Amino acid sequence: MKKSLLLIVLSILLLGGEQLHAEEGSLLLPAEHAYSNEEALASFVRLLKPTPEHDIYFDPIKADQLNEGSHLRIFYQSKNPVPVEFGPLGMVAGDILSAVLPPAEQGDVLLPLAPSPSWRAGAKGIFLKVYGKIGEESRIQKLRVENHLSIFQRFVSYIHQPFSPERFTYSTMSELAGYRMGGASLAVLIGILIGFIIVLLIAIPFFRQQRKFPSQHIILRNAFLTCLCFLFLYEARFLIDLTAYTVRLEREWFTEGRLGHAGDIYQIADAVLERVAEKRDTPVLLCNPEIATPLRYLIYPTPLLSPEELVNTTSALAITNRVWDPSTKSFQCTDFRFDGTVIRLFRDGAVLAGPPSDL
Amino acid sequence: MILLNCIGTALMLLAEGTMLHRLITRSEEERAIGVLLGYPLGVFINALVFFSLHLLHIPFNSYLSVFGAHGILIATFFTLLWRAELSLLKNFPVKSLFSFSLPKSPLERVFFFVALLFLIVILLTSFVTAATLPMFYWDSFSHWALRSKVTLDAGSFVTEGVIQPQYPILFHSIQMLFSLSQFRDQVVNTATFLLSLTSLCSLFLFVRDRRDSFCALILLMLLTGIPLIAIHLRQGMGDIHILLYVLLSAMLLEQALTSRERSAFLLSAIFVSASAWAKYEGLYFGVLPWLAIVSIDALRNRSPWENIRFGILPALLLTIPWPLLTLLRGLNLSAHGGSLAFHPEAIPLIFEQLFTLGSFGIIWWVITLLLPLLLWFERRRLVQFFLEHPVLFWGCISFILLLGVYIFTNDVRGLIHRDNFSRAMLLPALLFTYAIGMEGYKRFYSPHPNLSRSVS
Repeated sequence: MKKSLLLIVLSILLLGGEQLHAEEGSLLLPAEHAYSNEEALASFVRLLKPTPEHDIYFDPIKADQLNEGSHLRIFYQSKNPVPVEFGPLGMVAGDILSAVLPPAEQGDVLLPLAPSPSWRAGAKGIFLKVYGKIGEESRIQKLRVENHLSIFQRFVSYIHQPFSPERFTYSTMSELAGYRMGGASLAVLIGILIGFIIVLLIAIPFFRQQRKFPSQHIILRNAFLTCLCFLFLYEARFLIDLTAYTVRLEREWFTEGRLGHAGDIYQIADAVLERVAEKRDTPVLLCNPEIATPLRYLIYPTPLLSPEELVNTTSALAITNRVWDPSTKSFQCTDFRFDGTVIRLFRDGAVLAGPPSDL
Repeated sequence: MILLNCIGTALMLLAEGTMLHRLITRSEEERAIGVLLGYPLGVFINALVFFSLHLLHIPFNSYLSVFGAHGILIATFFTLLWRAELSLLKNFPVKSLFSFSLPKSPLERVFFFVALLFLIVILLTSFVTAATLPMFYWDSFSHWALRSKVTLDAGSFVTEGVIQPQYPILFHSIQMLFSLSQFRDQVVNTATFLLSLTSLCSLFLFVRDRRDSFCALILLMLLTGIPLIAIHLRQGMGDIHILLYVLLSAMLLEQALTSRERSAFLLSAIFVSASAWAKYEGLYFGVLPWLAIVSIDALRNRSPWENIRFGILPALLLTIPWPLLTLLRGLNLSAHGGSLAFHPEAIPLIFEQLFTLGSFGIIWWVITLLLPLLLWFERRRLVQFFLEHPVLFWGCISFILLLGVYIFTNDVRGLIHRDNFSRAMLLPALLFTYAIGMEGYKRFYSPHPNLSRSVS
């Protein structure tokens, strides 16, 4: 009797979430953990193909009144695919997840929150960033947070979370986000565990040997060994990501000429330098200031002009973005348009344009 | 051709530094480590060469001026070696460069091989990244490498067209030396990686000679295994070089204070000055604590003249020129300003950055657990303990200074915007790790560390 009761309780615990999910009619989408914010945004741009008239925008939604739960349910309307970034409210920036909602008249999707290492059961509120094109806006009708995980599934999610890869970005040289488990920092959890083990290794002999502390030598020896073991474990975890990151960068560089979060910037610089080599001292007009710093370095000493610096200067080359058609003849540069020809289009929608006659 | 040029330039720096090391130490025992220390020394000499050319208004964007100056230096060192009857290659102890002993216990062997594997992964991925990929980080684009390009183009250390013209020039000088014909990201990154590699190998040999191969390997793995260090080893910025110069200076200072060797004192002074030429943090958290430790030691031993002659004086003479030039040009010594105010909001952020994020892994937890334990056992002779362990003392001073800077000045911005706090805190983290590692290893095997101190 007791055994069968236990079995029933266990099966409810283990399968409860799955049963609940099966009852609902929503579409369960996988959540992705992008390598970096820049790369996630670049993939959204490639998907939506925004133009200067219909530029990409995002709506940040902070919903702190929603219930706690494991999945975010979104009811929406959209003609285009809807890229979204989401995660638990108050998460570490690097733990944000992304997904692409399919176009739908009456869309209903379910997005898992648990793959974000900042997620833990019981925490209320979500953060959602909905991307779209101006003039072709999607409509988010309703948001709901639901619980679709059994206790066992939550436990499995917690175990998975520290294996979520470290994000490497432009600012990696200054800070690494590290790993989390159930919303808590893995470094904190390990630090507390090390402290606990050291205390235990002092306390056990203390109570066994008539309340006499072990010698300093033994205490230090145990403490050093415990710390060393955990340092090795943490290091092993980090080196998996570091190696994978290196392999990914090498592959990208040698196959596509791109480099992680820097995207097309090296190809743009090469194309500019190639043109400049043909026509010496050509000033280059840059219309998208976000790539000015790397580009200025990569094409040095070729001068790079911003639209404000363009006064009385005839620019022969221009770099702008949001162009997807190679036959484009008219380009937008901040608040003015100019005529020209496409010299080269890049994967993320950037373009190197020359004078109209230049073929 | 590029490879040959690169190898030739690196060998020139190595030879220059090795000759200087040989002239300073004149010891047969130090020759093996002298070759490895030769490159970091050569890189510092190169910074001084570029600085001198700038002062003399000789443009340094030509082979003739730069290699001419290096040629004169090499000829001078060679003459001095010849007159002192010191050989550079004759009877060179090649074996001592490659002699390693495997630990005897199976558990230690497991640790040894795992540490070796980790170290290989860190160094190999760093080398591959440095040697094959272009510049990648924002600060390299905006400041470090761009300044090298602009300066090389101008042929002098200009203040126009660069973001922080007051920054010291060691990093830019080595980048320029390797780029006289053409600036290639991979070449300059390999050149600076070589600086990190030789510094780390010197550290390995130093620890191996004072403890054993096992201790040296574990310590090296712990130092390079701090996640942010592993990232900085891929090159592109100057922080890693301050850290390694300070670490080299610290290990030599410890040797100098225990053995009273003048050469170790002088080398320690040279390396700490080199750190101040890598970035101003080297001046504030490297040179100043170093001067404090050496001054305290001088007062304690009642032999201030030795410390002044072989430590304080050379350190000041080698450190001061660049800050002096900066002040004469009307620039601030800090790019961030320095108004005083109490910033209580910094305190939780400091805890967050040290203990919860991934920049340091769990190293600050380990330091926080082991250091108080060690100090508790030494509580009856705490002052003595610190004086006997200058690296630990240095770590404490730099840690307190850094906390002061981020809590009491407007540098708190670097903490709030997550710009530079973690990078700055790498210095005390490395010093603490080195000191605790060395002391911990000694105590791990000896129940009476105080008795065995003289042996080690």
